[in-house]
Amino acid sequence: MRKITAALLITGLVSAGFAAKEEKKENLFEKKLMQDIKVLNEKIENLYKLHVKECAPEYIAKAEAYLDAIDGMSYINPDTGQIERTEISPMDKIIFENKARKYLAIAKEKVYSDADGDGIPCYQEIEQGTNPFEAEKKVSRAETEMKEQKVSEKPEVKKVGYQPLKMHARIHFDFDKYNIKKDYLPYLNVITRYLKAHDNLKIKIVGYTDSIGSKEYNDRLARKRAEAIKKYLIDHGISPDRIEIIGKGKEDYLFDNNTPLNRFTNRRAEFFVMEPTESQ
Amino acid sequence: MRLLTAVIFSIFLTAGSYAETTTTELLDEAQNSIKAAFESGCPTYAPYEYYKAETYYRIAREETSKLNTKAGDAAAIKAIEWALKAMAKRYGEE
Repeated sequence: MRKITAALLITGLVSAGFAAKEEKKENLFEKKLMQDIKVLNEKIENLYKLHVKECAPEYIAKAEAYLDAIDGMSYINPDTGQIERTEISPMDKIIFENKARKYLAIAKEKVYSDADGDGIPCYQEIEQGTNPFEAEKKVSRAETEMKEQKVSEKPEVKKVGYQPLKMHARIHFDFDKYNIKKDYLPYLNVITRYLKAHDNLKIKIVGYTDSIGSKEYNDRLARKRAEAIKKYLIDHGISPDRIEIIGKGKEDYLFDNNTPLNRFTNRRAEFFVMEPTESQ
Repeated sequence: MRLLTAVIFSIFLTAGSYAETTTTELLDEAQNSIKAAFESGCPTYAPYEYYKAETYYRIAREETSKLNTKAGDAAAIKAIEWALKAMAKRYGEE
């Protein structure tokens, strides 16, 4: 009887030991996987700061979906109406992790790539508010030609006694918003410093919108955008007499309004630094 | 024999009418949603949402083929959700 008890005890201890070891192994795999997921999520976060959603939406979406699948997909079961969490097999976790890594690498490459060949990487173009998939040079040439025509027409009118300098800049706005985005404050500060250094110069701010919404509403919105910038400049020590604002609304689009990116580019305020003409 | 077949058939039909949403139904619906999104031009106008839907659909197919139907269902539902988001973005939202 004693022998049987001892044998059972030993067997029990041995199997418990094996089970513990097995559990430890499994935990190590899960632990490593969780660490990998954490690292990949951090990479995604960093890429978001570099506008990956605009530069490589396809690849970042794929990477995120695969990571979500590894992490355990939560969903509302249509039959029970309860939130349920699902698990996939370890082998699938490895496969999906590799896929997520692959798509993340492609997304990163796209962020730093220069699709339109103008020498500026995608993320910088987004920050500047230009279209990363269409060469800005072509646009700006067409734009400058248009402006040159306008400038050549303007001296005949000479209604303000000021003419635009070549220095001009623009900033962009979110949909239906007229608050200045944090990213553009450095540009405004450069203009503020320039105006402070040249007391004789004036500035003209022209607000624009995209094609969504009524004309009246967009005219008001465009003016509010120009006013927001005027307020910023006044707050930073520029005299209101030196600032002229115009709200143009749904006019003079830089690009067609077919994509969110193009509409974002069109929702803008342009600055023209004006110098006094000799006639005044 | 005929009676037995009829009974089995009627049981099958009854069970079918009270059945839960099946993985096949969800996969079909996901495929239809993605097809509709594709035909609406979502790959161009809402690429992030569209490709997320497409990837979840791939995951759903893969998991279902490995008989992990729960994960297949979850991924299929997510694919439907993202396809709808893509359509919403395409037709109205910014």
